[in-house]
Amino acid sequence: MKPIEITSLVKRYAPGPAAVDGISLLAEQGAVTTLLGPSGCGKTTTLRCIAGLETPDEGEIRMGEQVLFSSRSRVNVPSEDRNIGMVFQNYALWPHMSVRENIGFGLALRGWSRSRIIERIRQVLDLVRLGDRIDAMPGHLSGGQQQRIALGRALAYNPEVLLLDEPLANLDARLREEMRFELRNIQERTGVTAICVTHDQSEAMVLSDKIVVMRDGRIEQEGAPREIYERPRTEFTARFIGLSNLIGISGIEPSGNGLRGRAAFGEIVFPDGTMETQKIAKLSVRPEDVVVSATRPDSLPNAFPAEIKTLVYQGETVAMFADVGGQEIRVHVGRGLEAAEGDRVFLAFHPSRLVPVEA
Amino acid sequence: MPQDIALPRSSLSGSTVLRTRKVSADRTLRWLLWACVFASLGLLVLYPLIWLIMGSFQTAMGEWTLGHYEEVFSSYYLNLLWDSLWFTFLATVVAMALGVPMAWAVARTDMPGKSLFRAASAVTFVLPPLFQAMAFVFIFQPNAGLLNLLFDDLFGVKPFDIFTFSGLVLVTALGAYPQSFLLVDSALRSMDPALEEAATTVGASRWRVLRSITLPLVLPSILTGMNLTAIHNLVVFGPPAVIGIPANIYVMATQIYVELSTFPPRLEFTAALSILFLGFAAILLTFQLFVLRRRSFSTIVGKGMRPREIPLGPWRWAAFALCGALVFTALLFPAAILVSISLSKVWTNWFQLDNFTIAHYVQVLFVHSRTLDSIANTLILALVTVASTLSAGLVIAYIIVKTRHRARQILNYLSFIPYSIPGAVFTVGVILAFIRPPFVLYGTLGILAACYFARFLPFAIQPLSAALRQIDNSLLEAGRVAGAGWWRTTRRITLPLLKFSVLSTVLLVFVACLREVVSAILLAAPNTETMMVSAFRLWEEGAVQETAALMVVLLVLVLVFFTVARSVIGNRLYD
Ligand SMILES: Nc1ncnc2c1ncn2[C@@H]1O[C@H](COP(=O)(O)OP(=O)(O)OP(=O)(O)O)[C@@H](O)[C@H]1O
Ligand SMILES: [Mg+2]
Repeated sequence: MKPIEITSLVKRYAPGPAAVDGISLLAEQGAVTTLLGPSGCGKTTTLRCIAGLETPDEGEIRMGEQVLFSSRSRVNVPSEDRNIGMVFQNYALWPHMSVRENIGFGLALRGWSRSRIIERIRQVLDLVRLGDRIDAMPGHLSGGQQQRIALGRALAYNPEVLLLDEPLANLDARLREEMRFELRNIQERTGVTAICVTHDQSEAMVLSDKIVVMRDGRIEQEGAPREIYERPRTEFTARFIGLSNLIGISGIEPSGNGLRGRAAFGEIVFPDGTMETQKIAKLSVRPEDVVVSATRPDSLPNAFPAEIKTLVYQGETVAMFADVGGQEIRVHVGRGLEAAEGDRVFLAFHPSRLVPVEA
Repeated sequence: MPQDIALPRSSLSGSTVLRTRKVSADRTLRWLLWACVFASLGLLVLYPLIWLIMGSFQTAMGEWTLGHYEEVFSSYYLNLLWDSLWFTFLATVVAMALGVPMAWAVARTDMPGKSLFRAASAVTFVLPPLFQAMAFVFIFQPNAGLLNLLFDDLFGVKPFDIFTFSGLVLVTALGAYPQSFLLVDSALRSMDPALEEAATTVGASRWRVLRSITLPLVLPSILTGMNLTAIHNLVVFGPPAVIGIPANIYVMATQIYVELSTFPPRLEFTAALSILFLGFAAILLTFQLFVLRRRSFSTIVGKGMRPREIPLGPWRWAAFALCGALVFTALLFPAAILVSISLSKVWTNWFQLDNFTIAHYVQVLFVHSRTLDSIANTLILALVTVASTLSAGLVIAYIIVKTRHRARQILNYLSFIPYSIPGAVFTVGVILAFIRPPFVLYGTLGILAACYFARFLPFAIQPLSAALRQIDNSLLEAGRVAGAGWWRTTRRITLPLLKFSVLSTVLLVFVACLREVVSAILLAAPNTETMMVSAFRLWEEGAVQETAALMVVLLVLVLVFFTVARSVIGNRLYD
């Protein structure tokens, strides 16, 4: 189990913008690092570069001390010599081999003895809870079972790193939810360094120790799931991870131990972050962090009159779309809410929940 | 932290050294394979074509001349060209008139016996047209034709003469109708019935639907079928050889044969003639590739949707009778005649018990050294061709489909050139190329193997590359990631997944070798005859029953391999 370190990785398929445009990141040993971003942002390309299935144009990839790829010193370890495990989006189980042969393939290549191979296959199948399907052909397995066999196949030979490309994308919603925890559980038990690609932010939240948000071949922001969710640094991250109200703001000046600025609906105070004041373009606030009250809450700053436009029942919560001085704000409130469309209420934004973001 | 899954890791380090060696071996092997296919395409495809062109500008002594072209454009050869085209046109019209209505009846009506008609047409498609031509000559030749003898007995007249232009056209059309039939049938079958039903719901009558919806939708297939039929008729050798030549009617393919059969053979002149021929075939093929390909509508339905059958009422039996008559005339009757002649002592006597003998089969299969040799030659040739086209085909298909090799388009075009050239023409190039140093193969089986390789390579590349396209790249990448190098991935994953395509390719190339006639006849020396050539020579010598027996043996072989191939294709395992 080794860390993966990527430095200034560039991959171009065609002239023009690069698919991966100078990415540097560290996937720590034994942790799950998730590449998250919209379609076409270069997640798969990055992962395939690590696997050795694409040859990058520039940069360096290291696994622990070992250099896997370096454009400068012209090193490119072939895929088969990297000792990496990979779970493909479509699982890529070899249809002409049984479960046993699929899992045993990588072991035989490493010169394991017959008895050790079979012992290991059993172990792996127990791990993925499919001990009874050892002689099944992949075509006779359900999607979820195939997914777990693919995972078992990738883990069987103790790879240094496990790469997963949208491992849950082909499962139905319910199974996907289940497998998130299962995957996390298996990774924790094996302690393998994992790099996972997804465009599903809730999946990333559950799975990851670290999330790397990508956009157009570059890293937009990286950090622990909580940090990414609660402290997005840019408008893009705020929008892409979860739901966010973005409040345009101008005329920023210091106020007490924080800052104050003008929004469309009035003056608003918020804390001073690490960001330079000139760069602040908007304030991000999560729908569940907005406080709704029937009367003006005197104890809270940043309270503004609003009119409820729409209420949508979503199950756990009710989504309220309210008009605040011409701007629409989305609020998630408990089901106990006693209000109707057209009611006039007050929305309050607690300063600590207002996150200044760049454009 | 790592618990139950962790195993001692020491076992991994030992193999690292080994694998570094493997990488360079992989690269060498791959380089070698690449080099081999490029070299063989250069030698067996490009080199004969260069000689075809060069030869057409040379005298027999190797001096440059335009004389051959002057002669080619003389009135005799221009007339010949005209005859060829007229013959092609008529045979195509007749074949279409037979095939297209039958396709409609089979695909869209409640006529009985559909699967029989489909199967019979597929068999007719694969049998060499020489077979019908020979059978029809046995039946309808002016003096000894079986039906003429029958009429003579009954009425004292011999009304039939096969050795006429119309006889040639009809027999050719009987062998050619499956080309359009199979195409239009499958187009009609795969058409979404909702398109026609939609027309019915807006109030169109059944015939209106046929005219305004069905016909326009299958028109591209009809045109493609027509074009394929025309190409088939333009290059076909069997009927023009056994019916045309005695009737003094020559077409391009037989003229090439005649020019090369004279002594001394006029090789260089034939090259010029071939290039003229090539020009006309090229027009049809260009039409095929660039005009027709664009005009297809995607009307394909999912599995299980069967277009509704149009009830014909009592007419269904009339349709059945007509289709039955066609299948009978094109396949069953000639086959039965060949079998019965091959089993008769005196071939002009109809089926009589005391006329029965298996002596001719004994002759052909066990005694006559000529036919014995030809059987051996055919099998050797077929095996060599299968092995060579399969191995080259695998490599080429792999390069085209699974690599980003810079030369892969060139490779693609190069290997499909012989496919777009009439067999006789390419064979002339092969003779010119391999009759002289540095590669003297003329008179050996080697020259046949060389020619078959180039001509049948596309038959292998086509299904193999289609099958390779079906194999998702991730399956191979998963092999690499798991630690298998290129060769191991190829051997353990790619090839096993291709198993069934390989098997059916083997069988189809084998069948192509068995039924090939024109290249074999132009290239064969007395000791390198194939079964087809032997049958043709025996025919020329008037050994009627032996010809029939040998043909029957050949037909049975073709049918067996073809049937197995079709059932293999039908059983793709890993869907
Ligand atoms: N083999 C290829 N050839 C050419 N361009 C490619 C190739 N693979 C990817 N690209 C391009 O590179 C860019 C990044 O692609 P990539 O597959 O890495 O995106 P992704 O983030 O994985 O997206 P998705 O979420 O849709 O899988 C895209 O613009 C894509 O069109
Ligand atoms: Mg992707």
